[in-house]
Amino acid sequence: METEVGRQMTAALSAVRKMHFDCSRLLRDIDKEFDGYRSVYASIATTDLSYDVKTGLYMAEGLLRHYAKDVSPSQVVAVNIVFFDVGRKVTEPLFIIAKILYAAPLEVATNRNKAWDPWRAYLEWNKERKHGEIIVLEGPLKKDSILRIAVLAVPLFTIDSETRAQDVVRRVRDFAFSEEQEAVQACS
Amino acid sequence: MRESATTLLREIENEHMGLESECEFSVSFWPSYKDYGEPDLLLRFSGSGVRSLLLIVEVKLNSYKSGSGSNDQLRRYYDLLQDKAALGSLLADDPITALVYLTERYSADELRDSVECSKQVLASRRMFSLQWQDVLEAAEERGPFEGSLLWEVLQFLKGRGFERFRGFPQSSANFEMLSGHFYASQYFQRYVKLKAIPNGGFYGN
Repeated sequence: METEVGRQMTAALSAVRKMHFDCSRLLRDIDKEFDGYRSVYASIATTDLSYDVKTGLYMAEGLLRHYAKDVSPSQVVAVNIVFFDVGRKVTEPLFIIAKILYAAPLEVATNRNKAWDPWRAYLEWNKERKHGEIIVLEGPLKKDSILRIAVLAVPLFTIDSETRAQDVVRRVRDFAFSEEQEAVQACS
Repeated sequence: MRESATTLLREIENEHMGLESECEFSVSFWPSYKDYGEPDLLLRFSGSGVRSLLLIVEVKLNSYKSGSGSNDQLRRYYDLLQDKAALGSLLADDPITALVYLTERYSADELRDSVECSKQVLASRRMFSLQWQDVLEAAEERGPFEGSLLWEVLQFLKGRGFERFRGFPQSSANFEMLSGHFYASQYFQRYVKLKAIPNGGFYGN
C-alpha cells in the first residue's frame, strides 16, 4: 500500500537529485569563466560524505569548486553551494562565491580545510548576510591564514540562466582589492 | 602575446572553402599510423572546384589527452596531418587540415598546451576545442524530426547529461514533472538504454 507521505518524500528526493544535477552542470559550465586558472581540488566537488551507520546524514551539505592561477597561488576564487546549514538557519540553498587572499601560497591542492571558506566567510565571519552584495572582510581571519576576502552570496534558485551565473561569477572574479586597484592606477 | 581565438568555420571561410556546396564525405574510425598513434576519427570533405578539408577529431569523455611535450597526443595528431609520407593521397590536393578536440569539460588549457608545444606554424589556427554540449545544441538547432539519425544523437547526448546549464527551475511545478519516468530516463541514466530508441541507426541496428 502506498502512502501520501512516501510519495511526497519521493518527489522531494527527486527535486534534490535534479538540483544536484543542475549544480553539476552549473559548476562544469562556469569553468569557462576561469580560462587560465586551475581547479584547486581537481574534479572533487564535495567533502565529508559519510558511510558510517552512526552518522545519520548521507547527503552532501554543499558543493565546492576553487580556482587559482599559478602566477598568483595565494589568491583563490572559490565557489561554494550551500544546500542546507541547519545551525545557521539558512532558509534556502545559496550560491556563494569568494575571492580569497591567503597569507601563504596554496601549495597543497588537497588541503581540504580551505574547501568551505566562502561558506564560513558569508555565514560565520560576516554578520550582515546581505544577498547580492559583495562584502569585503579584512583579515587576518582563520588563525591568520586569510588576509582578506570578498564574498558574494545569492539564493541558488535566483540563478535562472547561464547568463545570470556568469554575471555573478564575473562580479567576484574581476573584483579588485584596494591594493590591486592602487597597483593598477600606479601602472596606468 | 596570445592570438585571438578563431573558429574552424572562420578558418574555412578564410580559405574560401564552401562546406555548404555539395561535397563528398569519407570517415575513418580509429585509423592507425605508425609513430603518431590512433586518432578517433579522420574525416575528409572534398568536391570539385573546392579545396578539400581533412579533419582529425579526438574524443574524450572523462579522461584527458595523453602524453606531453613532443609526445603530446594532440600535437602528434596535428603533426600527422602535415605528413605526406604517412597520409599519402589524402594530402595530395593540399587540403585544409585541422584537429578538433571534443570533450565534455572545458578543455582550452589542454589545447593551448598542445598548441604551445607544437612546432607547426599554423597550429594555433588549426587546433580547436569543442564540447559535447556544443554538439547537442547544434543538433537541437536543426530541429531534427523524431526517428532521424540526428534526433537519435540528440536523445543520446541528452541521456548522457550533456546539456548545458540553463538555470534552476523557477517553479516547484517543474519538480513534479521531474519526479516520474521522464526524469529517470532523461536525466539520470548513466548508460542510455538502446531499447529506448527503436530501430536506431545511430546504434548500428
